Amino acid sequence: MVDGITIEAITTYLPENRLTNAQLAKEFVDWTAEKIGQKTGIESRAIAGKDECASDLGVKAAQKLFSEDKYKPEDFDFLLFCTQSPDYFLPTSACLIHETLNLPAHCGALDFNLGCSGYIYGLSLAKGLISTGSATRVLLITAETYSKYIHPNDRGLRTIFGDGASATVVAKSEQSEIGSFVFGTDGSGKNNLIVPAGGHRLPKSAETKNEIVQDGHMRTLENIYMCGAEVFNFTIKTVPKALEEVLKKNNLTKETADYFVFHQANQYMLEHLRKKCEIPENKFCINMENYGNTVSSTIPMALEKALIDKSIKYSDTVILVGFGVGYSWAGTTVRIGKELVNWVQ
Amino acid sequence: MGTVAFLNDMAEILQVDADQLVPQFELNENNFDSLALISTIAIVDEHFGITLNVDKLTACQNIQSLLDLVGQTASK
Repeated sequence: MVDGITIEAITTYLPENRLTNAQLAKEFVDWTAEKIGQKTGIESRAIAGKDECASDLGVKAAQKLFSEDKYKPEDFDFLLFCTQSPDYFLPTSACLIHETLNLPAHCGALDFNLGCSGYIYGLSLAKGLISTGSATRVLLITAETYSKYIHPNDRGLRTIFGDGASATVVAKSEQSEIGSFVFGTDGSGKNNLIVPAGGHRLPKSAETKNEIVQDGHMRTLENIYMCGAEVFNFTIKTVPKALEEVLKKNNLTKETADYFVFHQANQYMLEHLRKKCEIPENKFCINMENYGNTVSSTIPMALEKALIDKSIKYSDTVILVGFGVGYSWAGTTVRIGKELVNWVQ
Repeated sequence: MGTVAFLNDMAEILQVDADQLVPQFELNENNFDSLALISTIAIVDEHFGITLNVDKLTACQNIQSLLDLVGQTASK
């Protein structure tokens, strides 16, 4: 049996194209850059290029692992790829990434389709693979290009979402550093965050290209629809309970936990959740300014930033909670190990 | 209950002075966009500890109907 499982390294990647509040204010004239910044806590977000797909972003994030001397492709025996914007219906995007990264032939690879809870699910899958002896070192990649699903005139969603990717190395360690998990699912929320057309339930057609205005936002059935108010109701109902469950399952309290990283959905929602969960400001991460909501990559991006700016340090216990599309949610704890601190430094 | 504090926060959301928020104050003509909906749900939760039904909230025409909805939801 393995003694422990840890996060050894995290890297992130943002596409070069950036969409600033000033650019948005130019397109949507009744908004000002200042108002967008105040309301969302976001100043700019990265947007994938026309020919830049989720697997490309994921590869770029993972290549940063190999640019240092520490890792070689043959060090990995499993690749997990989380995306909801795959390059193709088939083949599996993880197989494309596997090839580009020159991972060894004996390395397993699979995609999983989750959004904002995806990173936590990925950590649980990686931990499961390692603890059952099926793998020794797992490369967990998250990447999204939601921008490709958003209607150009949907100013709300263009403001909130950004594209990006992360790569996380999960491996055996001397101490157990990834804690116990809590999961949850409520498919009744499926219509509140959805791309209705383009799959087999509603294939693309002339009709699905008709532009409609709903809740003040323009879209077609081939674009993302989000009812922000319903999603917000879901989060205020679910996240505080999920947090309590994570703390209880890991024998922690809000006082003994050192830091809290929630999915970075939007700043207003985060600030409300922080107050509702009674978490002090200095123990709570808000990391949206230069990213926006990057879906499954917000948590690793926030972790990386918090390590760099030393908001979290060696041996800190960090609570992670992801929640969103599905509805789906998950939480766990991570004790920050030496490997991760050394990697980020 | 904290109706005055709630209305002060509503005024901030709608970007108007609090004394403008008379019962007949029209919501849809005054910045009651999707972000304002979210903010309203948040402050109702904060001040009254209740969650508003989104369809009913969207149907609120003015401040009075919003206060009525809060009252009805709280009494359930």
